[in-house]
Amino acid sequence: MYKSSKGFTSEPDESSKQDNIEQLVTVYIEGQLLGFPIARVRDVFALQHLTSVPCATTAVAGLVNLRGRVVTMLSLRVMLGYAQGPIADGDMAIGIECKNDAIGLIVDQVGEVIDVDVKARENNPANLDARWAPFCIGIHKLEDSLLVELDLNRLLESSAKQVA
Amino acid sequence: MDDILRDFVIETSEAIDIVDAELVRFEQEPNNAAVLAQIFRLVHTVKGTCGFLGLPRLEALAHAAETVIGQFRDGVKVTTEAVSLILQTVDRIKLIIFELETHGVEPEGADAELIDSLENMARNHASQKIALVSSPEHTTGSIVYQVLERELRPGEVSLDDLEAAFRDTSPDPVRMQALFQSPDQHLSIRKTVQPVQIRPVLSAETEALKADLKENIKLSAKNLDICDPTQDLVQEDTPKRRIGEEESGIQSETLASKQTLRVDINTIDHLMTMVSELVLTRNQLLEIARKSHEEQFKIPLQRLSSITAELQATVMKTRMQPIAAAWSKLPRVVRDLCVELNKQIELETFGADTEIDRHVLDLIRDPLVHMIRNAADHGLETTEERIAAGKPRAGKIRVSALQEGGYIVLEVSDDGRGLNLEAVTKRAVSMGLTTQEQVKKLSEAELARFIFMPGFSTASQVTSVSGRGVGMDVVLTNIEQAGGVIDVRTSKGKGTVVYIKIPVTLAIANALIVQVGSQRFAVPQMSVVELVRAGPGTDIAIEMVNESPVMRLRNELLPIANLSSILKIQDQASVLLTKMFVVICQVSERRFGLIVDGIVQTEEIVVKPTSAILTSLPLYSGVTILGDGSVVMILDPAGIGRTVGVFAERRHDKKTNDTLKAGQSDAKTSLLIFRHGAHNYRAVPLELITRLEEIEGSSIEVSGGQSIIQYRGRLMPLIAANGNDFVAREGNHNVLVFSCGSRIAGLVVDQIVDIVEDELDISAGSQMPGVLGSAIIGGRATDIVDVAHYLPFEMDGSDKVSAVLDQPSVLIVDGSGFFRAMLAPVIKAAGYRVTIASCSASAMREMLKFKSDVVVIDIETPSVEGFSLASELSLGEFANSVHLIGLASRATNQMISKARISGFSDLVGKFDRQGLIASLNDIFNLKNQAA
Repeated sequence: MYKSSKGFTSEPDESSKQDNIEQLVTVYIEGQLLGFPIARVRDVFALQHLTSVPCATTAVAGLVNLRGRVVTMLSLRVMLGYAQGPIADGDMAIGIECKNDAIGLIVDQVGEVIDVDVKARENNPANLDARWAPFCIGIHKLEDSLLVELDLNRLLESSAKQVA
Repeated sequence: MDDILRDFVIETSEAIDIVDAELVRFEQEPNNAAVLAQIFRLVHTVKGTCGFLGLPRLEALAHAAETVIGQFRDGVKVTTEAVSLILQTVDRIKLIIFELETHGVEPEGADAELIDSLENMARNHASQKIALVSSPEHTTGSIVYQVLERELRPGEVSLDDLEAAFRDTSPDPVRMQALFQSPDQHLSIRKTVQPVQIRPVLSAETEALKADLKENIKLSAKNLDICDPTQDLVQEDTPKRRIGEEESGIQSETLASKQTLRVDINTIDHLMTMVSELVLTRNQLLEIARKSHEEQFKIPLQRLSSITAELQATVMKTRMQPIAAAWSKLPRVVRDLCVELNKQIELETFGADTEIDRHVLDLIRDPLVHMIRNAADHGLETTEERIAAGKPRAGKIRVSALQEGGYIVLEVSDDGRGLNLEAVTKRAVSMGLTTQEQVKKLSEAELARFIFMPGFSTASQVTSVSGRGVGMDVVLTNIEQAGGVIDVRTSKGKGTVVYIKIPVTLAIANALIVQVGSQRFAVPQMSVVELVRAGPGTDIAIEMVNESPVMRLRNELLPIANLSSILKIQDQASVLLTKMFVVICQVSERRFGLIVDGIVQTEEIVVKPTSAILTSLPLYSGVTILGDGSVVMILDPAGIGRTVGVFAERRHDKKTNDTLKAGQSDAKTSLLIFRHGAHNYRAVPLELITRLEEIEGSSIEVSGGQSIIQYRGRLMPLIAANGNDFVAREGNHNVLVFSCGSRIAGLVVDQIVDIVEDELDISAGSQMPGVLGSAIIGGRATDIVDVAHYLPFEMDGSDKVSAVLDQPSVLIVDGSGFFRAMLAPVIKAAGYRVTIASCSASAMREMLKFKSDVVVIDIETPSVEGFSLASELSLGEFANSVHLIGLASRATNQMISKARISGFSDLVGKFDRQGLIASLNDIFNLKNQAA
């Protein structure tokens, strides 16, 4: 009846169908280029006043107030199996929406928005880390590097399983 | 699901809820035409809409129900069975609508039996009706040609028949003409010219239908909006029309009084979020304005401030609903219970317009029904029992609500038989929730609270209504979820009352902001009882019971926990060292303390749910944004209590607490009764016992002719209660563990019988070793055991003392007969002459008589004015000769300094016999040296 107000509560389709071209927001973790479909990304923001949550899993970095909304910050480094150093104000994060929860992924660095051809996406290499396999959709070959496309839903599911 | 269907579902659910309630009302007042008219209109609307939307199952049900309701309108007697049947239909409709809501389509399934019963009822009514109406079959009507593409249902007349009937009549042509010229003609079949005789020509299709039809024509004429035959155009002012007017009257009235707009709940929630954000932004602006001293901002900011506050209040109000919404179902529930249980039950409700947040409302809906069912099934007696007890035939269940500050107090009471506390106790013991010994210590209110335990049911028979043991614990869970508390009070033969206190809204709560480490947390004010400062330099000491910190607060022993270690923020080496703040929390009657590093402030917070990834953490109930924009977690005291297990310890603590009180209150002493071998019942004061243990015989070792056991990393000697050092190494043994300073010993007994609190009056002294004497406890002669006799650490160095001194005398002043009896032999054995006194006055008499060298005074016993007696002694004629030793179970700094002023030379722990002997020896050694 009522369309929920723009942005946060809607989960648009993963792919925009126009000419097989998909736009990915890219980030860097440990030098590796990773991408998410732009439709799922709500904000890119710099971290400020992080409140830590005692007793939560290591992936949970804490909570921030993003324009009146409490955003749960997760460390993408931890989710991908790397160690997370101290988190400071000004660290970059990607704001996404998952089942009505506002989630922020803390990243090393935010890259550009890159157009990729969905059809040219390669399957995961056979020797990909087994921990990565569940949430890697595939690899895009860029001119000077490889871009790993991540499935946000599965990524968050796998970290939720760690909690349980 | 498309919008039309969604709207239909919402509207129909509401309509059906009203029908539900109205039907029950109608059953009680069958003559209330307005109520019936409303029911009829609602059902009719449902039926109509269903047909329009293509929902055949719903339509068929609504139609069948409508027919029967229509018959009521025509004067058929209202019977319980008929109403039950319609209610059953209403339930089925609800079920279908629920399915429709979830899946968007009507569920598969048949309602044939239900429709059949309804149709049968309609037929019965019809025959009943025909018997009533003996007048010739009059009806009037005009017709519209229409093809009905289905078989006829009872209550319907085939259109062909109607038409035939119409054609067969010979209407007055003039009047007929007038009719067609009347403005109503386009309404097809509104008014008639004159009474016409119907000679029904029935189609030969169904023989059975024929008979029915004849009887039903009159009724169906109404359904098809054809006027009563006995009226004609001139007689507009008929009863039927009046009902119609009333109907429209009701409608316009409701329209006028309730101008409402249906708004999606998500929109309101979103609005709420935005308002909270606005409030925060305003707060930040105010902060900036305070610092900048810009005069021009002051007035607009003030306006902004007040507008924001008003906006917040209004938005909060939109979330409010009268509590009646939660209990609109209750009359129906009670009615069904009446039938099912064959009891007469009256339901009274008070405070229906009390407003409450809809989220909270949802949480209390089910508990209310549960409580009503419980009250009806367990609480109220059968009619015969009630008459026998001299009560009114009908049992009464009363539900009331009233607002008390930010809380709603709900009361569900019945005037039934009250809780059977004996059965509750029995059940609690058999379920292992408590033990027979503990039960004796519980108050009635505490016993009654067992009904909230999961799986608890005292009903000897499981009925369809209740007795399955699910219920009250569900109630408790829901109420706790809503941040509320629940309590039950009962009075035998008079009834039971359940009290519930819940916050009006969960969205905004008062919270105490506390600091732990460098972080802040919010604690809901609802569960905070008080704040205390504890630790060195304060009146309240934190003590350890077997490595668990506890705190004494006004005679209550509270388990406490350190928040910083629960939250793993930092490990504090010892809780005993520093001054600290303790937040005393209460979660449904259970109290405990949480140590925090600081108290920041209290604040009204907007509660937000935590994200899914954090909901598995039991420590938090939500998250909030404070006025300064920072995010803080809201602690959940109930979850924390469960996590650290302070609840589990509570019973133990309570026991200790009781015995402490018992020891201090002059006469009563808690005793543990046991049996061993051929001996009588024996008793030992509970407070001398550190723990009760059950040990395996196989774990007993023998060393140096002594049975020992490894106990908590130490060796504990075991002594059988008959004085034997050897304990059988087979089977299990009950062991009473005693400790004295660093030493421990275990007394092995055959059977622990009970724990009683009784006046201890040792009546007969005993020559038997290890027995102080006998007393009558709980009606049985019981030997009071001298623990000191059995335990190996009794009197070190007492021989030396007695050798050196020539029987110096000691006066013991203690209000408790037991302690006098306990201490006297110990001191005697240490080589002193002992006299005893129970109060100050007798102490002075004894002093004059024996001129004791040392007076040992219990400074905690109320009947002995310890300090004043001490002052009197140390200033009076014995001032130079007497030494005073104070006995206290616990020495605070305050007490020590007071004792010094009063002239005590030493203060010794009440149970520290070694310390007392040592202190006595010191005094006498000094005396000897001086001499």
